[in-house]
Amino acid sequence: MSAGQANDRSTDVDEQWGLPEEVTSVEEILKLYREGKISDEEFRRFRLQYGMYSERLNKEYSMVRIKIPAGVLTPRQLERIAQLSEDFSIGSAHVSTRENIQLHWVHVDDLAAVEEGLVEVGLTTREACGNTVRNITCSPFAGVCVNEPFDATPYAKAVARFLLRNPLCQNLPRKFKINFACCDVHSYARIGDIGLVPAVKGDGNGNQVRGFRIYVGGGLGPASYLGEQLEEFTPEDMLLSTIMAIIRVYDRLGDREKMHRNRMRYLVHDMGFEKFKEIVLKERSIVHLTKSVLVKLNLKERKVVDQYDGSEELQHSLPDGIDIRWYNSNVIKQKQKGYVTVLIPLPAGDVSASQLRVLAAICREFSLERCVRTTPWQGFAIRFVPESRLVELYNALKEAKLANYGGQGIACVVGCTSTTSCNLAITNAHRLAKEIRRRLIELGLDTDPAFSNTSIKLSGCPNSCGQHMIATIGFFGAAIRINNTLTPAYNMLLGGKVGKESALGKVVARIPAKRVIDVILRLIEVYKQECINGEPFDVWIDKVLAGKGSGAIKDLNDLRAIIEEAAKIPPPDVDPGAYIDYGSEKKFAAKTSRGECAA
Amino acid sequence: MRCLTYGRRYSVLIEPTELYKRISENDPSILVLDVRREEEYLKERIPGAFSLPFEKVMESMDASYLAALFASAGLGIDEDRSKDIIVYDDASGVQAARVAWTLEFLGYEKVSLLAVTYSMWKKLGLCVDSSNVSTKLITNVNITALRNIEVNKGIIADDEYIYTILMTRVFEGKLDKIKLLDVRERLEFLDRHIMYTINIPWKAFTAKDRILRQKEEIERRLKNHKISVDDEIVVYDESGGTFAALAYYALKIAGCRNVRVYAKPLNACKASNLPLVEFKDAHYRDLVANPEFV
Repeated sequence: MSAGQANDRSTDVDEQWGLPEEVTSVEEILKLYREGKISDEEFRRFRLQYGMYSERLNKEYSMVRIKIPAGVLTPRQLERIAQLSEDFSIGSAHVSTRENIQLHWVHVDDLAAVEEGLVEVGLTTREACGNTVRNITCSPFAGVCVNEPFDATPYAKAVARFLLRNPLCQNLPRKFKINFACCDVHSYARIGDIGLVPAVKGDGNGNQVRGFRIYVGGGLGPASYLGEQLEEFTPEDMLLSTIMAIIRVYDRLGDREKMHRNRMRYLVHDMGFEKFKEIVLKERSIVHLTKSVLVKLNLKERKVVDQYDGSEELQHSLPDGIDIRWYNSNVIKQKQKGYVTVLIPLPAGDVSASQLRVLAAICREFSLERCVRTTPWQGFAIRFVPESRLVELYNALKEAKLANYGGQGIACVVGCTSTTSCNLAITNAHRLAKEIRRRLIELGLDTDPAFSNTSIKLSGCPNSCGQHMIATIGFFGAAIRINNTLTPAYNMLLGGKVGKESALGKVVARIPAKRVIDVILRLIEVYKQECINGEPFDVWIDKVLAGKGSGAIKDLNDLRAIIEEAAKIPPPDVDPGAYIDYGSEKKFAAKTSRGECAA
Repeated sequence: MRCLTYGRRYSVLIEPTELYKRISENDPSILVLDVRREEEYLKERIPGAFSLPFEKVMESMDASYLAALFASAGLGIDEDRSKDIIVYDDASGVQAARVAWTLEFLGYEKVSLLAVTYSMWKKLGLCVDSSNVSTKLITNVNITALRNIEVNKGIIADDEYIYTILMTRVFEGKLDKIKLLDVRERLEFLDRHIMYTINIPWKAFTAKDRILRQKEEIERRLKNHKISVDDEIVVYDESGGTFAALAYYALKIAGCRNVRVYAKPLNACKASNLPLVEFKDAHYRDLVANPEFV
């Protein structure tokens, strides 16, 4: 397909993930539920299988989680989500860290209508919640990344196609997450139940064989683990057998009783990785020998531009009319010469219906691949933008308030939905994430290269939807007593990261919600005093955590003293606001209800 | 093309092409009302339209004021009752609907909404008139409370009316045939709403380039919430019955016979004693893409 053809509107085709008969199923079950013919519990199990999750302390409303396999969305789908959010939701949609898009506060009676609207444009909510294989994520840079050996996107989508509605994974011990990476640097592979990093290997005959490095048993939550590499190299033709084998072993041996111990990572951890690996590899040979010839991955590769001759490439100078501050953090050169990927950060993942419509128009106009990607940082990426059109694109984004700073780095703050909608949440991490981001941008910290590899992520509870465990500075919500008053607070973690050297953050302190921003700024201040030879912030944090600080801060104890000082709050009668959560006017109470992410 | 609906002798919407045709033919039986602000009307308008600014209609629900206002806008009470009145705005149809509904309240029967906004009319390339028409403006509203003005009480609801409905529900358990419909946006509804109300945000009735959706779509939406065309429906907003008036016409398109609009001015209903339901256990407002945060 030539570039010219790719620009043709007829290529704006949606893959059919959704099925019209499933709209009917939702309709029928809803009717039975409303007529009192099925119980709350039966309805719950059904709707979770369809990505419909009860909203915070209000059973009449539901979150609708739209599965976006590999994070790929067409303009038509964006427009439909915009419309559905206005018709049935709150006029905004939320991009999640697992590349889903969620519509919140949808009335239960409207669920079938929403599903219908989604299915019409090929989308589905099927198996977006519940004990199934959740959305299969893929690096938003897959296909354009300068480090990658090949594009993992077709593999991610093919695995998603294979597993969706597959009887193999309709009732697993618990949810199951698969992440595809593009390369080690951009990899989220080690925090999934299965993580895959594309790799190539010589076959001895001078040919390069495609395959993956597969990690298993990772995952974030109250107890987090990083995945271990299953074998040195898994060739492409063993990909499906390997995935099937892992799921089969987990389905057979995973814990179905103890709710808090039934993710696969506990199975792997409890039996030991070596033993697990042995069972999986044995299972794989059985799967490989016995599976039907019809069982195979349905790969659909799509080439966006034919040849990368760089004819569109601009000179090195920045085009006139572009804000360099935006350019530096939001524009990334692709491996295809002359094309760039543009990151669109969203404050804690929230995007309005009108912004979604603008995004759809921009995508049609400027992206040669005519689709957008959702990112694990709760934003969007528009790829295959010819550099020559960057100014126009920038202006179009700016008009819709989408040309915002901090597409990556410290200002790209992640926050789960927390008390805005989730039953498990203790604190309003969502609003706090927005407040932190705003403050950092006000201070211009998005422009400082020392923080370009730093991340801040928050969750409203110990479950890790905000992925706080892999942030340089992470926070998860808690309720603590200070001066005999229940106070919204956060456990603070330092030193988490994903990528080549993944690491889980270490809990270092507890901080009242209203002091989180002060603590972050104090840390930055201390870093600026302590930093030598221009080492970046995240490197300095690692050094201190390892007890190798070279200035006044030698180790974590020194740092902790500073954090604790900055986290102090006066008694409630002096500063009552310090005991109230963000977005609240009233006294803090840690109200939670049964979570459904566990199903 | 007109879609005549059951229980209504006159079509809700008039297509722009039809209006254009009737204007071109100098059809004497039509009367077009522009409810945009006066300065917009003065600049340009649909040819032949009279100005009846929305703000002026919203000033009061007093029948003699409204009758006088309509008279000064060029609607002679008696002779124009036979005319086909067509109302348009440039505000998603919300203002036109409120004015049209007010005309119905004052006893005009043949009232329709232009199916598109003024901007869309222009976008469709249909003719506009920019000649000087300052003489057509409303200069003086002469209230003479002499005439006995009969209003259509069957399309309006007040606090007392809603209160009675609620009491009937509470004490007799029957509200099956009477539905309270709140058409504000979801967040406003979550904040606070009148007990036993159903929420369908008004935008669910509007289309991308038309002020109201097709009959089938509106019917589907009502069916989801078990609202039948035979029900009595009271539509509510907190914007003086504007969004509610647009929903009133959506319900008319769907064939609902008995629809009432709660048309109190903005904020007045907050002072009423209707039993309200509040929901404060979630920070749902922080989930909105707020331009304050970028």
